[in-house]
Amino acid sequence: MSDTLTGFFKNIGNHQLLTREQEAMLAQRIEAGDRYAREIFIQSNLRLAISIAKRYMNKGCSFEDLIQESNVGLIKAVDRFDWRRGFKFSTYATWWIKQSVRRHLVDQSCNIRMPASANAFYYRAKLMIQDYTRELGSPPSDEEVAEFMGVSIDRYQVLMNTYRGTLSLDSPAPGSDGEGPRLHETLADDNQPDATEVIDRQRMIAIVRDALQALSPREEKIIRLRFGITEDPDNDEDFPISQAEVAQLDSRCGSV
Amino acid sequence: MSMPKGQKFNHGYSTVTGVGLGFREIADKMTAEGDEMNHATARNVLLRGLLKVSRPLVALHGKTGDELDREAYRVATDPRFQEVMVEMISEELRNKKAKR
Repeated sequence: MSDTLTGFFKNIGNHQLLTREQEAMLAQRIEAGDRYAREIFIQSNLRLAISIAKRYMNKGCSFEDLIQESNVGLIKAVDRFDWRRGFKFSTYATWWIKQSVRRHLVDQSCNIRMPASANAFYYRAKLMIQDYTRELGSPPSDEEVAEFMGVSIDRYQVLMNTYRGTLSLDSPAPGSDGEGPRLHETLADDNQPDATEVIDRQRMIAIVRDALQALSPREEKIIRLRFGITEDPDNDEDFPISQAEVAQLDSRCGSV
Repeated sequence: MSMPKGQKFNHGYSTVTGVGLGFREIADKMTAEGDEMNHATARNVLLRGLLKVSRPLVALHGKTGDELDREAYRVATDPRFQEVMVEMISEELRNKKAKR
């Protein structure tokens, strides 16, 4: 843990937790524009923000960042807290803090930024799957979740597939330690021909070349006449018969 | 022998339009040069030449006996094979000329 974070934890321990009455009193002062009261309110609830941030550790973001985001959520909650409703501040603030941390996590963990509505859909679906599995002992089918969420199966699958995450090509290949090959070194290049295919092809070319050598002059000549093969494809002077002869043969064949 | 059913539909004919000669023209040309033959012989000689190439290729796939003959004939008359053959023979001739 960094020195800054240790200092921060020491500092928040100095602030007393607020009672329901103190919360209401401070909230009234904030409403009246007292910036000092706002500061006290925030500082007294930093422990709540940290305890929520701790739940999201080891999910791809540093702890410092999570605390930062949870504090942003806490500040939002302080600014929007309505003391007249009579609830404890922690009840109200928990939702804002969680929302802020989750949004940050999704933004950071995915290389492709997803819209907030898609994130909300993903979390609701995940929650539904967890509840269903806990109650019935087996996970629901995709069709069941899609029906529960009120979307088509295709849309559900597209949304859930989007959250599968991405991998860096420079990350270690699966099953290797940090020093082993990189992921890109283990992926097949679809554009490269298969090695066995190349060998087969070379073997076939060699066989065809040998077979061509075995053609009799008569066979070679007829193949060349039939397919119009000249020694130089750009020069038809080498073609076994001249253009005049071709025209003559054409006219004779036409008259048959 | 007629073309196998669906062959033309799938692969078309190996035509010689604009480049090569028909069998009657080949027979006339060969006869004029002293090698007397009719159009059917010209076709047979051509087919025999093509079979000389297709047979070792088919044998490469482990075919033997009657099966080898049938398959070699099928390949030799396939326009796609003939197209590749033409390319290879042209290349061979180019190589020969370059060596000279």
